[in-house]
Amino acid sequence: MTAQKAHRHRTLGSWSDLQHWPILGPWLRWRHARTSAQAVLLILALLVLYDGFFGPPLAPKNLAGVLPWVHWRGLVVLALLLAGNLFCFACPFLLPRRLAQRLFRPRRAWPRWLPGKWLALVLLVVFFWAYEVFDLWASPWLTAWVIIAYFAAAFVIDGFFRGAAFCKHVCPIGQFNFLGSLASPSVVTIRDHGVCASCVTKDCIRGHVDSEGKLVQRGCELGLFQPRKVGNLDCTFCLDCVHACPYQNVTVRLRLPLMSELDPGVNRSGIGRLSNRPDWMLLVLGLTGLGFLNAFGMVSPVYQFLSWLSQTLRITSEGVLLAFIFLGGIGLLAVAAMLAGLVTSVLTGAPSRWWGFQRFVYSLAPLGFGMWTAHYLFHFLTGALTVVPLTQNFVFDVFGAALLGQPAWQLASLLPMNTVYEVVIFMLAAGFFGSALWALALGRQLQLGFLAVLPWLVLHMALFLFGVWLLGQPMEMRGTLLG
Amino acid sequence: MSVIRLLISVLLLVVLASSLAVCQRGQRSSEVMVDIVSVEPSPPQVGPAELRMRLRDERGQTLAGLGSVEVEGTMSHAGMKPVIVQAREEGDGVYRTENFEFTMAGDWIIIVRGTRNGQAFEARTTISGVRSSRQLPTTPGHDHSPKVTPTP
Repeated sequence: MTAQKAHRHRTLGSWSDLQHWPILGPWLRWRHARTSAQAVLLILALLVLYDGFFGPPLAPKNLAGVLPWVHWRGLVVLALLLAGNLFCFACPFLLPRRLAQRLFRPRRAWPRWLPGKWLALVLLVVFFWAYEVFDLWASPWLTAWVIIAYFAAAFVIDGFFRGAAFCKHVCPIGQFNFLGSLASPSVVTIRDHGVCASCVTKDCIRGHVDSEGKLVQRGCELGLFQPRKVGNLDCTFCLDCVHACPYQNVTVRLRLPLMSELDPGVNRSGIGRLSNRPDWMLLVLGLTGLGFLNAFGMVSPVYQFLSWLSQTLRITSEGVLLAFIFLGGIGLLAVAAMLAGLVTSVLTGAPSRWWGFQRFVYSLAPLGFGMWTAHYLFHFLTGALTVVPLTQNFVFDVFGAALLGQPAWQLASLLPMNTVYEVVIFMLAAGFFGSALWALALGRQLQLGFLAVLPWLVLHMALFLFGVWLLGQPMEMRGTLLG
Repeated sequence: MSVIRLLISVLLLVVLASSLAVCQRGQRSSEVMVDIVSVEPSPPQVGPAELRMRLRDERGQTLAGLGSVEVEGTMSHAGMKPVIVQAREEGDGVYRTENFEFTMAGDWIIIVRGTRNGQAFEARTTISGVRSSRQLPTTPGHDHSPKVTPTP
């Protein structure tokens, strides 16, 4: 490296290193930074639980109907896009889990017959199926029970299995965040490879022990060894590695989204090669398909389609019909991706017909995340201000006086409807360009011709156009009325 | 460890305090019931609409003489701007909305608020299956044929 390049690298390194930023830097270095963020979300979760169980049954009038489904989902995707995996960082479900680890000191390993992401994938599909069948968004009471189930699952699983089994193998929200964080502009990474090369204790993965041999700081419980960690997958931004490193060689750094994530053939610490991980491949397919299906469930044509399906299959159970739609939709996407992969394999003369699929299926992730972002931002931008009258009403009910003023129920949208539509289309388009660029860059890296990448570009374009059509459909809200 | 203990204590206090503050918030005892008499256009669809509602007391007697009441139309999904208008009495406990509009297709919740004998009341009912401009068939599992559901 020339002196000029080295200087430029140091300058960029200093600016992009978030631990060097005023206020934010010292806070990130503070050992209880995560706990403080978790405490804030825990208090919000308790408020949501309280209102979900004891508040009005109408979702629009209840914190459990508004905060999780309008604000939290919108802020999660915004945070992933603009900052990083902030929700996993501030996840309140992990506070009782930490208690369980102290109480039970689990030593059992996660079962080998349930590896990787398979369980999380099943839970994801089941959750979104249940979301539609039971109209979870319309029931504060059911929403509260979902949150209770989350707290209980984190407590039980991590009280039973060592490490971060819940985050790595079970949590559907975590998997969503991992894939979304591919597009994030920040990453937990090391500063200097030379420091890691000379390190003998490997505290970032083993944890930091004091002179008496007592563990005083956990290392990465998801098995990500910092010197070989690639990108954001499986990283909860817990900062354990940052605090464990005795050389302060681990930090949070700004980066160009996607760029370090493109190659599924690279060996990622704690994950391996993505091209050898069918569970990750199906997770990408599943989350991409669910992104479109979840939005499809909110527009008028879905009811025509359900009716047609019901008459064709002679099935009247909504649950069964929705299961057909979910499995059929994801299956259709899987077949389309396998066909694209097959064409790529044939055109490149690859040794295996799966070669193209295994490498390019991950390029769907930005488009899938773009659809989720468009959907969740739609609800957030059209309903963010509803938190104002809701809080006013909550205070009035709890204290018996309008301490924050009379509820201003007319408040709802952050932006005019036309602008919201433009924003969501832009988000979907950004996802499409991310996917297309991923496929093109990977094709270039693998020295493939344009024709070999073309099937994937066609698939991206077809999904993008379907998304544009979806977002242009009239919304239709049907669901459990009056709780 | 002390931080965690402190945190747990604070959280337990928050839970206890909120539980003591009120048992079931927002559940105003309402002795007023509302029935939808008519919706124009029928079947209801997205766009301007006129609702006629009859208010009744706990004995089923019509509630006349209230002058006007506030009508809020909202949806089962949170985050939508509710439609809030006034409804004026046209006689015999029947109240007619002014400038009401269904802004979206789907299931609507109608909340009527007013004052009776100096006491605020709130009554709710539903209008299911408001249609978009196109005619939609019945959906299995979701009974959305246009109907009104009186709710006590």
